[in-house]
Amino acid sequence: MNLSKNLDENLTKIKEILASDDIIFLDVDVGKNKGSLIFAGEIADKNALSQEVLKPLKALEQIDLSSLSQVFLCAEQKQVEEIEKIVEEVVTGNSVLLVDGLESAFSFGLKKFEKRSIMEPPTSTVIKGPREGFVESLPVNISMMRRKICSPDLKFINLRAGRFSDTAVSICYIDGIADKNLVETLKKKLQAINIDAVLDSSYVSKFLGEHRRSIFKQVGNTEKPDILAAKILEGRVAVFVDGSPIALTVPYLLIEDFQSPSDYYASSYSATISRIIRAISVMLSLFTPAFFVASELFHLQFIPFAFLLTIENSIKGIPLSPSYEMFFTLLIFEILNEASIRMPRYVGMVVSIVGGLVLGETAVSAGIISAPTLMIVAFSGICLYTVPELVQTFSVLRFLFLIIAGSIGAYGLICSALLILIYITSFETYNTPLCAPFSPLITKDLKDSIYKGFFIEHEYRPKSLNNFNKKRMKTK
Amino acid sequence: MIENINHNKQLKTRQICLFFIAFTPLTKLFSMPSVLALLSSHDLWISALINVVIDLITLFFLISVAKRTDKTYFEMLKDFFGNVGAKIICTLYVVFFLLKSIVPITEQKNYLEATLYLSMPSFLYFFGFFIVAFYLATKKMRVLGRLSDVLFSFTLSGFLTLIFLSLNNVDFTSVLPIGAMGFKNIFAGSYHTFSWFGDAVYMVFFLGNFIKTKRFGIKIVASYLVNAVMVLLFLIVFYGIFTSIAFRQRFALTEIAKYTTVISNTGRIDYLAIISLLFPCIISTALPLFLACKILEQVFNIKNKFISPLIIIGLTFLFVWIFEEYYYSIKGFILNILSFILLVFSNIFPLIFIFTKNKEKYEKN
Repeated sequence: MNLSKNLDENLTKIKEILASDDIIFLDVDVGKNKGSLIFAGEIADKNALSQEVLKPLKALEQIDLSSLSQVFLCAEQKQVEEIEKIVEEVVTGNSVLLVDGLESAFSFGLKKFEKRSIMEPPTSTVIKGPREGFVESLPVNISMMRRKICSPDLKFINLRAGRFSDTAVSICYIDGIADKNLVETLKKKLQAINIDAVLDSSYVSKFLGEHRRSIFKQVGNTEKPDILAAKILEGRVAVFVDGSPIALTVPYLLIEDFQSPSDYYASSYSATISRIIRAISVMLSLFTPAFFVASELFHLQFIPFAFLLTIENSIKGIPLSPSYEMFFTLLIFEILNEASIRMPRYVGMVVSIVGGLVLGETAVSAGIISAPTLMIVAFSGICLYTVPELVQTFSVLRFLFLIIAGSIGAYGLICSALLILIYITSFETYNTPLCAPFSPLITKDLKDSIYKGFFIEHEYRPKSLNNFNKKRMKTK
Repeated sequence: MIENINHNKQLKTRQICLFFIAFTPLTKLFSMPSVLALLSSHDLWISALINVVIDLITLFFLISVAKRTDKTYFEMLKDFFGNVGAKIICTLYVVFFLLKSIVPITEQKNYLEATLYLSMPSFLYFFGFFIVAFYLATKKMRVLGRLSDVLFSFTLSGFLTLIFLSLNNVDFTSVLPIGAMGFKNIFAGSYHTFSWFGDAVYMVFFLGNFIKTKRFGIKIVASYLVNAVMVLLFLIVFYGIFTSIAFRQRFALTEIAKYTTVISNTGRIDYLAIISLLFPCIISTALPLFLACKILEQVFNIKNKFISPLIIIGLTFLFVWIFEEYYYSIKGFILNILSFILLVFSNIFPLIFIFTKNKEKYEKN
């Protein structure tokens, strides 16, 4: 619906839509004409509004309305002609000036939100390297990226998503490196999101994944500008969501989660060792409880004789079968884990003491569970946290493997692991295989996989990703 | 330009090479060594070598065909025999693969029963194999390449660990004098164990489905030779440990490393190697079923990816369980009577495409 020249008529229509107490309609004089400044009281920057809009208007005695835009000192201003557009501007924090006799309104980008200061993200702390992390404000996050990559090739595409939230979403990529088809696909996917609200980037990630029911992650994420800069320089495309400190990246490779930010600031040797430890830990975490139960129930020949005696002594009098015992202990571990995350911090200490020490120790001494089982669950639990990004997926798989191993033994475990292997090796998102560079084997990309190559070895961008401009380092 | 790693062709030359290393040696490590030891005694490796040479010759010819044409086997059959002829031949190949799969599947089931599980009916746990085979068959041929990329390391690490643990007890002189068993026994060994070989047939179905790189033929033959060396080495080590009682060791995989002195200190660590080998081995055993499904899909133009696995895997499942009691009769039938037919399908029939060049020239003229 277009604006008319009559201010009162326009205001009536707008007030019908914006009938809310926090929306302010301020009457102002624009020379000899009447005007109305509309803004959301709690998010508009009132100081800037009075300095850059109201003060110049006050000084005005007579003005030709066609040159009114030159009066304001605000750097971010535009003219809007539709009532729906005016409403959209106001609810997103902009201030709108309507003037009697004009068929268009002025929108000023003068908003001021309370935002968290930049600090180190708790999910990826480093000893060496930058400590800044993204915040919930999209403009701040974009400014951090601009500071990292001072190149005209760094591009942002701004979109909006969410019927009610109308959240700002921004696609970020490097022109000339990222696959343009991928950027277009992402744009289409984001535009197609039709939900009530996008409250966090995780909402968007559900729509970016190509396999909606998959247990495996399909979209990468990071909270650190340095990591994101490195990722988009490899050819990935990032998505920011206003209100979320987590940037999403596609395409995603499984190996990404084994690469810690600190690996890139440490020596190649220690980074490689750390990655090997992470990979072994995840495998141990996934298979140890299941393999132990299978060995206890079906394949005693797997267990060395001396160890078998120890186990035999410890399970004497335990009322539960090995598989139930392991299952319930693992379940208790998951409950404690869940409780420790949700509980207030001052109770958290009590939970760890009661859960870890009292519950564990008492359960063993009371003969409800055996010490080896408790030890294996604790070991498995700790091991999984070496790669925190995979905890959700692998916790589910760990239970699944345990149930299968407890029911049909090691062969069942091997078969189920093979099923997962077949699934992940044939799994692709955005034409990128999840298991690259191992499957398909891309030897050049192995330099930044479990093995972390020396800096001079990273001459080319990863072949696993569909990117342009393969060479990233000039060498003689 | 973007260099897309997802080329239209399903496989890469490297993946075929790794395929021959990862999957083809494994089904030969269960009961075949004892069968060979029974028939050829200490010349068992020569019997195996004859089968390897037959496969190598076929492989050479198939590579020369691959150099000349980009067509798949089905397309070549269509050119030669027409659409109906090609469909009939391909259907016969489905039967061939079903027959080829029976012995390794049942062998694996018996192996698990005898060595890993002592107190559980095999129906429960071995059903897992059919689920894996079914799921694998729903995937495209590309998955074989991807699995080869990952599982070749499992095969190599498991195999080398077993050999390393066994070497201490091997008497290499026990395979001497070479050829003393006579040609008759050696050839009998070759003939009756042929169903375990005939790996060149896989290459037949890779034709037209892989990206040819520079010197791809040499690479594929070299990888096949690695597979052959692994099998021959295993047979020699096996006979070198058990000598005259080798024919009684039905499941060489579990037996070969269990006498090492390391085990007395650490327990059966050879099981870790066996478990590592079981991963690729399950895929290896499911391979004939996978190819049978793919052929069936092509012949009858089946679009639904679940139909052919349901038919093929379902039939195999029923066959294995219904005729469980008659396994030894069936095995005898396949090893004694069907060996020649298997040889025809895997190694002789594909050779007709040596003439593809002439035919293409004829078409051009």
